[in-house]
Amino acid sequence: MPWTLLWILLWPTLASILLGVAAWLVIRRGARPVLVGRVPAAVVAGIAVLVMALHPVLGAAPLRLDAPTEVWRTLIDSRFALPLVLGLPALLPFAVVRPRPSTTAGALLAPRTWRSFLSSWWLCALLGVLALILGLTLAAGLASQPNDAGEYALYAVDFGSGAIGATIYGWHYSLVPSVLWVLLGAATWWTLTRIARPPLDPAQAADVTDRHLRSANAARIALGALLLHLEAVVRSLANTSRMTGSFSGSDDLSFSAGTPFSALTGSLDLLAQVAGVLGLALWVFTALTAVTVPSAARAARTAVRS
Amino acid sequence: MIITVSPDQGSPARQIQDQISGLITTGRLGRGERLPSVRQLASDLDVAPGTVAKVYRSLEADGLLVSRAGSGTRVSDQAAPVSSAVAQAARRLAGAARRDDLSLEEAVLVLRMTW
Repeated sequence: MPWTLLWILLWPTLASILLGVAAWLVIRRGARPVLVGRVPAAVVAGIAVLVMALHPVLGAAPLRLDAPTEVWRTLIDSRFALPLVLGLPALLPFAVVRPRPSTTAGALLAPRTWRSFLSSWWLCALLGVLALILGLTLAAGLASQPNDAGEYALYAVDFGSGAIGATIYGWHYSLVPSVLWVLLGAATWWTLTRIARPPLDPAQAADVTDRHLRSANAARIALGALLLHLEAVVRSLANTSRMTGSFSGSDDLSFSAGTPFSALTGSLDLLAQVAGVLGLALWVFTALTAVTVPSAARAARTAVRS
Repeated sequence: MIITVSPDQGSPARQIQDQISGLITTGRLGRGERLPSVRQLASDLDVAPGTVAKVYRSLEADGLLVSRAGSGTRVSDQAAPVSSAVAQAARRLAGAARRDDLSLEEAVLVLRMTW
């Protein structure tokens, strides 16, 4: 595969990694790494990042490899569901791995719910992105028509003297992802509940800080999955908006026509890029919360020792 | 506010009830403040859920707590001398004063000066 193609396919991943690492160095400076379930959380988030990075490369493999069309079709179609499928197991370590029960020093007389350790900003971000996905899914679904195979994945524009058509993120493509993001929402709620439920440790301040970090990590995983799904949807809509056709009129004059939302192509491309880079950066950041940020003082000590 | 149960100070139910009613009547728990669920408090104190449920029922009968479906158990409006907002603000002031190593007298002085 030529280097230029590899660069085109991988630069968003590299940008996400750089953004995630930069954010980790700035935001987590001086903070302790996540205490409970740090290894499984880092491994699962790291694997999710790796799979998302490899997916576009595998999608471009037909350019160099000869393989059945069905295999590549399935691989390319999986781009809508893949982030959501990866997000579900990436949430598990935060829900399943729980702190060892310690002798309780007493009970704090305040309710602990799934909201107790989660900042409202995360909730707003999750609901905002979900609303955007829902809106785009409904709009694209309503605009879709059955294609030759009877699948609601065709967007056609009739110009009287002819019609043009292209694939759209219609009901055919959005059904499985819609079920998956409902599952992701339920899994996020369950994870946050599991983080909040156990009794607080006698070392209360450290325990509360750790639960805030684990709740934020669960929100980061869910938001990352939704943003990566949004990227796939918006990119698909951008590709649909590029559809054009040339027709001949009654006076033998030919004209070109496109989709009613062709003016949005640039904005859709930009939105897809931003959503994709941000989504993957959130997963990179989550994997890194298991690691202590190297401090300048520690680096200096190591240099002196050696 | 932390409540504890020790094995050598009588029945757990009695201890929990005394502590919660004490917090309400002294104004440390304000009107309308939510209490943890039966399951959470029982798990935190390592007692049977039935024990906490019995305590809540008894405090409801005394008029100190009210339980409504969907909104959990709250301090009754008639029971507490201060509102939930005042009780929470007082706790925040106490916490901040302790973090800054102020004595109770100094914290009261701050409050008096800002009154």
